[in-house]
Amino acid sequence: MNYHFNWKVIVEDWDKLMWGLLLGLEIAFGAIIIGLVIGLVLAFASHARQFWIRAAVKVYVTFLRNQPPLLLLFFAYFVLPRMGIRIDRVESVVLALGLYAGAQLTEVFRASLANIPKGIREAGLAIGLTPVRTNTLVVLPVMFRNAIPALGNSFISLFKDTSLAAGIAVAELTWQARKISTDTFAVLESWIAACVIYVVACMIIAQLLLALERKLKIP
Amino acid sequence: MIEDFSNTLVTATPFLLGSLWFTITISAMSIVIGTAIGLLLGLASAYGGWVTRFLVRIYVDIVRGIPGLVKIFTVFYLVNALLSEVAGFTLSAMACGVVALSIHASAQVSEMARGAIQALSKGQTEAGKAIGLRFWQVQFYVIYPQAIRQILPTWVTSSTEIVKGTTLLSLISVPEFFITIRELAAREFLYIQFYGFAMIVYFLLNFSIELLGAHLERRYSRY
Amino acid sequence: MNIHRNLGLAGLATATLIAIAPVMAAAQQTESKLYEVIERGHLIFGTGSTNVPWHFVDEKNELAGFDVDMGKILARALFDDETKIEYIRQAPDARIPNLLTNKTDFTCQFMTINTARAQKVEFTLPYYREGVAMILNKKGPYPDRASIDKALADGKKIRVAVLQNADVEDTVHDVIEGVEIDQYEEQGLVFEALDTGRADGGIVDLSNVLWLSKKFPERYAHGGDGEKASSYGCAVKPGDQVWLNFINTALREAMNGRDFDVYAASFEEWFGVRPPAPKIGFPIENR
Repeated sequence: MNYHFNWKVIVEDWDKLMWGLLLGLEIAFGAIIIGLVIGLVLAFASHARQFWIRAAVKVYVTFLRNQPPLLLLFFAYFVLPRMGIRIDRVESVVLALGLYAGAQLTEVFRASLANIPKGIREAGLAIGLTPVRTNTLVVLPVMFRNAIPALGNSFISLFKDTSLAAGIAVAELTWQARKISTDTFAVLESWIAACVIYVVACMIIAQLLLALERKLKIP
Repeated sequence: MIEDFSNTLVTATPFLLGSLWFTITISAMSIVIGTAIGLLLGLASAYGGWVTRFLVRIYVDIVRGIPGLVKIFTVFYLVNALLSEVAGFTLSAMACGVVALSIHASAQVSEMARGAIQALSKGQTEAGKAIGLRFWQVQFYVIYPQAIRQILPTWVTSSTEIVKGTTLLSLISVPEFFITIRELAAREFLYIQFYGFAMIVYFLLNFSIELLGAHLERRYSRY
Repeated sequence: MNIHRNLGLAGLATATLIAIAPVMAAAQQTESKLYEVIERGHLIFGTGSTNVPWHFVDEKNELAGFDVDMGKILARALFDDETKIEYIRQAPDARIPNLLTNKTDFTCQFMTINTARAQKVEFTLPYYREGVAMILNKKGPYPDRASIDKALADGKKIRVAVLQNADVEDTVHDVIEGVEIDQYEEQGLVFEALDTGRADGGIVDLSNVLWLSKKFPERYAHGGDGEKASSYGCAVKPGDQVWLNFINTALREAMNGRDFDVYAASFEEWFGVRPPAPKIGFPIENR
């Protein structure tokens, strides 16, 4: 093979790749926060007494989780301005991915909620807490802790989805890798570097989440 | 606004149907190939020696750690560069898409299959042996039917992910449904309408797969 | 005596071979893709299908565009019939590989002539000279170049969209300086960004700007050109002088001779302007 590997270009632009990685993590973080909030609210809302609230939640979840995230992202970036809603580029990614994650986390939290033994809620009510306080002080922490593995998976998934932001010229890791590839023609090096960085990052995040899980486990 | 859109939609229907069919074809091919490879890998890692298990583990971890878009770009740019250097030909954008999406699916199916087989394996294999079945008979008649039933819901989710993944192929100019929608939206300047339409189509597409999965689950349920 | 006779026979045989050799070589020399194509009866022409106005699929579901018209010029030169073409639709990455592996006889696919490519394929005469230009959204806040220049002078931030490519910053600066550059990964996204106001201008090929301003005059405006020029040429597999010479003859006569009207009509259809007619008398391309 005639190809001469030229790793110098990767080393030279390593900082750009790392900044891209950081940006991806930031976006994932923002998206998981939004998704978390939506997920928690809707998980409780899906037990509401009014039928139309439960139906609305079901519609939101079913519709949104069947959308391709790229479509949601382009919609937020290109179409919302035409409807009068102008958000910045990076915020559009966070919003689109956050709504997408919200749909999935709703299901996660709903399942977690369903798995909480009835006894816990009754105990809360028995010691005199109002239903709302029971939910927030007793049920919520337990539900949260049970959901951490799924939350962790969701975060990793969101982090991988941030690569879509490259499509709207956000300078995250995938975009940087492609730029190096088109500028220097070092096609093999750039894409190998991108894959390696993503795999290593996901592994590190997974390990961190495992450690977090273990720390929060009830002995 | 709606009138322009309906008119355009009617004239554009052949293009849209063609590209939708293309999307469905690419999805179907990737799902089939990915599932086939994934089942083999799952089997190998459930029953193989430690070398096999190690290799499959590495494959799965690497493939799952790379985002879908990066997989697609890697096949399109890196693999094609290698192929043209070494073998003198390149894969079309569509072929690259199918390869990348199949690989993506295979890693997920492999994990599903391994999990299901390992969960069922011990007790069922012993029971099978107890009633006089040999290894392969146990596999075919006892383990696989149950394993397939067990992975069906996750497999359905994985398949909808592949369908959603075809939209990423628009970034390497594959003439699938999403890129056609965007071209029409740009040409007719009807962004809101066409994007909205696309959302409905993708929802129907994926929701149908979900319903199909639920139906299959019920049909093959034991109880 | 035997030796003499054997030497004599050997000498005769050698002389015969030497005599026949040029004839045999000549027979070899007339082997060329040109004759292969003529005998086959149709041209296998590689081009793309997704870039208006070069090569795209029209409402009749047929391939159309300036590149396609170049293919038709060659088909007419070969068979006097522009329908004797088998089209191979290919992505830009496949242009060179398809030629080298004989999947196509001939390719016109907005291919910039550069020395790196010239080491792999042989280029024909240039049939178009491309440049970069800025396209503006007439329905947006900056419908012409003057408004953008004014905004820049006032210190406002101007954002342009461009396809992520090698030396893209140089390309943009060729047309306009002092702007923020958004690099997108697919050409369609550049126009989407312009249409939806995510970019104030787009830096694309001059041919695209000409075509779009002609097709949608209420939507797009031409906002200035760069100075750097690049030539587009068609390409063939290296090593076949006869084939390349024939194609060049056909193209040259289309741009400068008997077939000018066909070329000019095509040029005008896709770029909105008729190229200057060849002057009779001294062939000016020789200057």
